[in-house]
Amino acid sequence: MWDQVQQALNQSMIRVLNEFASLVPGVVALALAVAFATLLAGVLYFLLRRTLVGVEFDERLARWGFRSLADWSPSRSPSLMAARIVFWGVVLIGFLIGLAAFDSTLTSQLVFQLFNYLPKVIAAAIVLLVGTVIARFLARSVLIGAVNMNLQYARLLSAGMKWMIVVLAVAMALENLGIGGGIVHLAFGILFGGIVFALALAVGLGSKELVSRSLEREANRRPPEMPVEAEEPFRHL
Amino acid sequence: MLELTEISPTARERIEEIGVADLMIGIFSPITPDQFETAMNAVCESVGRLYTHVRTVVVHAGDEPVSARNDVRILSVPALKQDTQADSAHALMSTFHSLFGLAELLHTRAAAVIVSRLETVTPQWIYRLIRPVVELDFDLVTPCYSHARFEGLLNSGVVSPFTRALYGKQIQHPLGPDFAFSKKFGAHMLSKAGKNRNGVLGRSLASISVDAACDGFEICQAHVGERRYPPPDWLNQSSVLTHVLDPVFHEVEVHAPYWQRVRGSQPVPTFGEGTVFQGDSEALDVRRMIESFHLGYRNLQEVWGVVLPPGTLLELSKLVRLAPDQFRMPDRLWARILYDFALGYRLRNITQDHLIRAMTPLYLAWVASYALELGTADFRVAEQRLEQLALAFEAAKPYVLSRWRWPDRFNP
Repeated sequence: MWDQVQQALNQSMIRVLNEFASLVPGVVALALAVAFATLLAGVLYFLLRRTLVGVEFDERLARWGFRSLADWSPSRSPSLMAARIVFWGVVLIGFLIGLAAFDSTLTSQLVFQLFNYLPKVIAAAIVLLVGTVIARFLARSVLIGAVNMNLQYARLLSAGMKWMIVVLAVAMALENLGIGGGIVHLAFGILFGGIVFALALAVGLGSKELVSRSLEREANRRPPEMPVEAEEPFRHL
Repeated sequence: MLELTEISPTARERIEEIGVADLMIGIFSPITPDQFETAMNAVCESVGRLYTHVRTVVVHAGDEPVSARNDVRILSVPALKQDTQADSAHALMSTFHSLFGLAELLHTRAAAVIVSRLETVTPQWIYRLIRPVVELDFDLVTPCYSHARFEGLLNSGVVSPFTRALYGKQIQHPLGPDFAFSKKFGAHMLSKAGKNRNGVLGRSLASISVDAACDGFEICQAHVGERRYPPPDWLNQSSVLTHVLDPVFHEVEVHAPYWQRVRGSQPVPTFGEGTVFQGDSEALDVRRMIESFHLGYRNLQEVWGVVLPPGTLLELSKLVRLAPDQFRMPDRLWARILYDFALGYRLRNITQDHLIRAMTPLYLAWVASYALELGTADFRVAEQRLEQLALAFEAAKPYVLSRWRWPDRFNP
C-alpha cells in the first residue's frame, strides 16, 4: 500500500513538474517578447521624440488649430504624448505576442479577441477626436456670433453647443465599442434632449424682449421712401 | 472673371462694330433706365470737358440696349450681371477683371469703374476720376469721397491708416470702389491674374491699390464728391468686417517682403477740392457700442488671448473699467490691436473667419472712443484726428515688423 501511495505521489509530482516545465518556455518567451518589445519601444520612442521635436510638431499643431491637444498631453507636449502612445503600444503588442507563445487555447482566444477589438478602439478614438475638434470649432463660432449679436447668454449657448456635440461623440464611441448597449442610447437621449431643452428655455426666456422688439419693428416698418438713415449716423462701409 | 466665350454673340458683334476706343467707363451700380440716361448725360458732359477728344465706350450689365450719343458708345454685356449682383469684394474684383479684358479687346488707353450709387454721380465726379489717367498719364486714380464725420469709419479708422503705414502711400480710400486705370495697369492686373488661374477669384478690391503701390505704378487720388453709404446692419457687423478685412489681411501676407522695407509714408498727388459737410456736429450715443465691447471682453478672452499679447489685454482690462463718458481707446493701442490681428491672420492659430469676427467688439470700442472724443467737433477736427491716428499707425510699425519676423518671441 505504501508503495502505491509513493507511486501516486511520484506520478502527481511528475505531472505537476511536467506541467510547470511545459510552462517555462512560454514564460521565458513572454519575458523575452516583453523585453524585446520594450527595447524596440524605447528605440522608437527616442526616434519619434527626436523627429517630432525636430519638426516642431507641438508648435505646428498649435498653428493648425489643435491647441487643445496640449492641454491633455503630459507636460503640455503633444509630441511627448505621441511618443508615449507608440511606446506603450509596442510594449502591449510584445506582451500579446508573448501570451500567444503559451500556445494555450485561452491565451490564443484572448489575443485573437484583443486584436479583433483593436480596430473598434481606434475607430472610437477617431470619433472622439473628430467630435472634440468639431465641438470646439462650433462652440467658438456660436460664442463669437452670439457676442456680436449682443446676446448676454453667449457663453451659455456656446457651452451648450460644445457639450451637445461631445455627448454625441461619446455616445457614438461607446456604441462603436459595444459598451453599455441600451443604457447608452437611453442616457444619450436624456442628456441630448436635456441640453436642447435647457438651451431652448434659455434662449426663449432670454430673448423674449428681443423677439417682441423685432416683431414690433416689423409691424411698424416704415415705407421704403422714408429716410431711415437719418436715425443712425454711423456708416462703416 | 468673364470669359470671352460667355459674352453673347450680340455683344461680341457690338465689340467688333465698335472696334477701337480710347476710354472705357464701366457702370456697375444698381441702376434704373432713367438713372442710366442721367448717367449717360454725365458721361458725355465729363468727356466733353477733357482737352483731348476721346472715343468713349460705356459698358453696363443691362439687358436692354440704350441708344448711343455723340462719341459715346454703349456696350451692353448682360453676362456681367452675375458678377455685379454678388455682394462681395471678390465678385466686384471679378467684374473689374472682366472690364480689363474688354479694355484689351477694344485697345482702350484708360478705363474707369463706377460702382457707387448713381444719385451722387455728377459730370464733375466722373471728370475728376478719368482726367488723371487720360490727360496726366497716371496709372491708378483712387477716389476721395466727401462724407459726414461718422461715415466710412471702417475705411478711415482701419483700412486707410493701416494701408498707409504698411505700404507708405497716403491713400484715403484704398478700397475704392470707384477707380480709374491706365491700360498699362489694367494689363498688369490681368497678367497677375493670368499667372495664377485660381488666384483670380482669390484676389479682391484690396489688391488694386496695394499692387499699384508695391509694383511702382503712378498713383493719384481725386476728390470726386459725395458718396452715399449704406446704413449699418448692427447684427451683421462682423460679416461686414470680414468682407473688408479678410482681403486686406490677405494682401499683407502676400506683400510682406515689400512692406517690411517701407519706412514712413508719402502723400500721393491729389486733384480737386474736398467738400465739407455741414450740420452733423451732434454728440452721439455710443452706449450700445461700449456695451458690445464689455460683452466681448467678458466672453472672448479665450480668442483674443490667442492673438493679443498680455500687455494689450491688460490695457483692454483698463478700458473696461472706464466710465462711459471717459471711454477712450489710445491710438497706439488700436494700431497694435490691428497689427496683432493681421499677424494672427497669417499664423492661423484660429480660423481666419473666427479671428476677424472676434475683432468686432474691439472695432466698436474704437468707434465709440472716436465718437466720444470728437463730440461736437466739426469735420476739420475729425480730419486732423484721423491724421493723428494714421501717424500713430506709422509710429507703431516697428512693433508689427518685430512681431512679424519673430512671432514666437515673448511679447509683454
